[in-house]
Amino acid sequence: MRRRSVLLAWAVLAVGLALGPGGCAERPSQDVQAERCPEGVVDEVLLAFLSKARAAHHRADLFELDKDLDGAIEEVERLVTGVRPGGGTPPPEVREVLADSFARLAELRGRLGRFDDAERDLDEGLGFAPEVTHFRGRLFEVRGVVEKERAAALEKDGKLSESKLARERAIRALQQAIDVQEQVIRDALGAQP
Amino acid sequence: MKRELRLVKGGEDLGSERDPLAAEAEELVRGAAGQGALEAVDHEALLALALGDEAASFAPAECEAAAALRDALAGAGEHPLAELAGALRALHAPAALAPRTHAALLERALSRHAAAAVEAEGEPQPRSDGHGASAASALARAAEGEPVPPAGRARTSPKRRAWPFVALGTALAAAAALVLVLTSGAFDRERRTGTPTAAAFIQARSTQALFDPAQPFPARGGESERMDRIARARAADLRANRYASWGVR
Repeated sequence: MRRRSVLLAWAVLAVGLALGPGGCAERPSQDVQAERCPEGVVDEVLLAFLSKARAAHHRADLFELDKDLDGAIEEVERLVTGVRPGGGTPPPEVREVLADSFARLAELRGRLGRFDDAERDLDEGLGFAPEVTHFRGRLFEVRGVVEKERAAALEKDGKLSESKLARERAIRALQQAIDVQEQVIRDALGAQP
Repeated sequence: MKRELRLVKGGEDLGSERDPLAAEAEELVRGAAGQGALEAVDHEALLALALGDEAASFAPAECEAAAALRDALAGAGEHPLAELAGALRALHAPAALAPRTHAALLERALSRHAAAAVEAEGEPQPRSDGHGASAASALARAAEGEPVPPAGRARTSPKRRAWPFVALGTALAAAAALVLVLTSGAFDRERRTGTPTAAAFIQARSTQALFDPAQPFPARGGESERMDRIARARAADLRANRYASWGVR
């Protein structure tokens, strides 16, 4: 009995020694890397992207001041097609900046009469802003404005039925913008829809 | 060096009670708890150093004091604050016992148990090579990785009576060793990485909270101002995350 208890104690000690250090040693660099670079935190890469976006939009402002809308479009386009953090699943900040940038692209293209390109920008932007935010609301608002401009252009060309359809699309898009913005306010106030 | 310790309240004035070392230690602990304000010069120097400014300069006396403390912490030389730092370090993340120290402690404890048991029976003290002591020695040798010779048979009744204590002590030591080994991995990893867990960092998140919900974005313009606001806010978050990764809050 005595011998058995001593043997048992030694066995526990041996198992402990075998499991403890071995378990740690078998999990070397991956855990360390994971702890050093926890995913989803605000890091240098995110800030670099935000800084790039900031500079790109300020440059686009300067081109706009010079009435060079193509130059402004080129600046913003370079931002939305460039490298971005998170690959296929960018962090929320990146998605929202991209959504806002696509809205600007669409607005600029709409002013130049490139309505179909603007429509594509808006579709792409909405893909980055699925949540109820001002960013999503603005995309619908820009769509309404672009469709309104398209309607005016079509009417000028004598295409009255197409102009009417564009006007209807504008009305729908602007209503969607109003709905989203209302929901943003409700969410902020904590009120029920 | 032994000191009498007692808890003090946050704003308690210790008056004449404290000696210079205690006063310095108190200042350090209060500073670590965020109760003290850095002087502007120190703040600037710390910021410059943290941000990689190699040219950040300190007074020669400060450099000498820092070097002396660093050497003392590394085990070369003495410094009044090194003992305090060692105690705080041991409190936060106790290091594993060195095998030789562990063995010596075991041997001393087991020998004392065996001796006390025999003494309580009113019998003569066992010889230094008695069963309890030899078991302790064997355990100590095993802890150091040396081969353990087979134990001999108990021949006398005092030795037989010492066996339950040896077995109990061994079981307790084994359990303690198991707990130590299983928990030391976490301490080791924390020491190795030197970084807190992901929960300590500010997460990437929607920027909606940076904007007035009652003020929708205009259909035209305002992007640059929005980018400015987002970048500024996240730059502050990144700075906080850097401090968090250095263990500073």
